Amino acid sequence: MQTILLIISAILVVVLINAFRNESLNKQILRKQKELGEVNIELGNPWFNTKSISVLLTCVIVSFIFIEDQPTQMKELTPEFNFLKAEIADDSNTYNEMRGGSICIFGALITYDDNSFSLVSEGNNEIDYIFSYDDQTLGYEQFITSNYSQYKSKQTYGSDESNHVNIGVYVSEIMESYPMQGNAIEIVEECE
Amino acid sequence: MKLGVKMDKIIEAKDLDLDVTVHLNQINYVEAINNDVFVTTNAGVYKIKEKLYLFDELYRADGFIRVSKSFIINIRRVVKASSQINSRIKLTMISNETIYVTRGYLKEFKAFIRSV
Repeated sequence: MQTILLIISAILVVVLINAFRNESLNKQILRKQKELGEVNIELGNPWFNTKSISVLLTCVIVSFIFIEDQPTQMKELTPEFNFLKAEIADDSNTYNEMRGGSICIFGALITYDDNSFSLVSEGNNEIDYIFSYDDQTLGYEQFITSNYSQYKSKQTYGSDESNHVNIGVYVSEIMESYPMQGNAIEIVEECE
Repeated sequence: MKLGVKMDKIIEAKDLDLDVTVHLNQINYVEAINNDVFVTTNAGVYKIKEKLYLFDELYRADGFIRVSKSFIINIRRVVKASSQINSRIKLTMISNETIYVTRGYLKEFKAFIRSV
């Protein structure tokens, strides 16, 4: 929808510029004809002049801004998701211990083989975000990787219920920041 | 619509072999074809002896302006002008004929219509 409005806006801008030029040109000729004593110029259809095009363009731009401000479908999901299903990269050499399963973000129930889950980009199966349960700190470590082998940052979350909520919030932020990655996330069921 | 404040000039022309006079304000445009120059009115086409560049010099004050290598138009006989994508200006004459202001003559044409 935004793309269509953008194209319409671009077309209207071109039409508007051309209409301005033509209107100016015809008015100059009109002035010259008046000076010479014979007027034949026609100033065009008043319904297709610069004013009407300007109004139309304004409407399209306002619509565009209004649509731009609307939350995307992914953002609307944020308060609802409770379970995330992690999608695992096909590359068996990397994190193959993380098999499929679901993890409850808001509740105490964690159903994942090794207490970790990952968010992967759709298409290239690259692991971008990894949440892993740490027995030592009793928290979740979150790694951000640019590829399978390199960790760029690490963050620890507690294992109590309130911190699970924090993880959920953090995941939702990721979803907002990287909406395309949200395609790799599926809500599998309600959290009890 | 005639505002009728200017004296109308005439020029000598030929309609085939007949000598005729043509009122300047009746001329829509002047066209050079090979070495001959013709004036076109709503009534017909007449040959004149003036060269195109000379006609432009002599009658610019009467509303004639050169718009291309072969055409001089009477600005009074223009009913519509519209800019084209290729930087040309399309002029629709009172006779419904279309003449283009070509790129080489655009600057002069714009200066002409701005001048009062």
